[in-house]
Amino acid sequence: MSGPVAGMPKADRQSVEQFIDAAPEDVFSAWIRPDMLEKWWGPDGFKTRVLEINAVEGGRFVFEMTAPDGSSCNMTGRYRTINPPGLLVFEVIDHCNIGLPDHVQPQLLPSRVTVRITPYGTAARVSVTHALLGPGYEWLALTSWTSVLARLEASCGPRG
Amino acid sequence: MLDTTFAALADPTRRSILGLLAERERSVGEVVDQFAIAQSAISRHLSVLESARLIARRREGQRRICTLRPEALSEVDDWIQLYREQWQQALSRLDRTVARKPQP
Repeated sequence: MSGPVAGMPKADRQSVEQFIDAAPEDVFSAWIRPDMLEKWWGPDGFKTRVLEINAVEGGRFVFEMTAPDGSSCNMTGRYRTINPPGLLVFEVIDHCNIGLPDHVQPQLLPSRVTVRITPYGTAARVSVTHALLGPGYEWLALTSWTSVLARLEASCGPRG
Repeated sequence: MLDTTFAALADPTRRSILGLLAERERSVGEVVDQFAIAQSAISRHLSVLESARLIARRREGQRRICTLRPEALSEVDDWIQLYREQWQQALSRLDRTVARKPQP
């Protein structure tokens, strides 16, 4: 996939960062060890149970996600790059589309999660990028639609 | 659905059309003038964009005016924002799971 075009905004809207006071090796383990992963994975209020995890490149994972209302579904995917302690890439094939807010469309396209873990002094900096794999997504994510939407709102707003 | 949006965005000509309409609304003729391909081909692209709810067309006299529709793009923004929030929540718990205990 091609990189950002010069002059275009970076796709940093998709990235989330966290600084963690732990060794990068320990942070990496928490992504692939079931006993650790079940302690933190998923949105607030959800419980995660690892049904299957084969943490090798090409290996599959199946996580059972249970929402606060008790409904549950499986999130499945496949590991693409496992390069401890710095890089983990996996594709999510089935998203768990329960508990979505009304305005968010269920996600049927596969997506790719890229986790980068870099040393930061004695701590670790974790960066997660989650992108859909549908055609055109990168273009949309790279384009500064915020300014477009603002201009549209201005041009469509109440007239004098 | 986002699937339809992305299928419509898969074509570079359609992305260029959206870029033009992001600047301002334009007549079909003005859009056609920007490309060295047949009007019928541009019309097909406009139909795909309209079906994906990325643009709207209206008639003004003899002209058909094309306008960008923000709703489909907002769906993408909603998805990006939701996943940002969910990852932020998860990474906070990851922090509590693996961080060194505070020194006494």
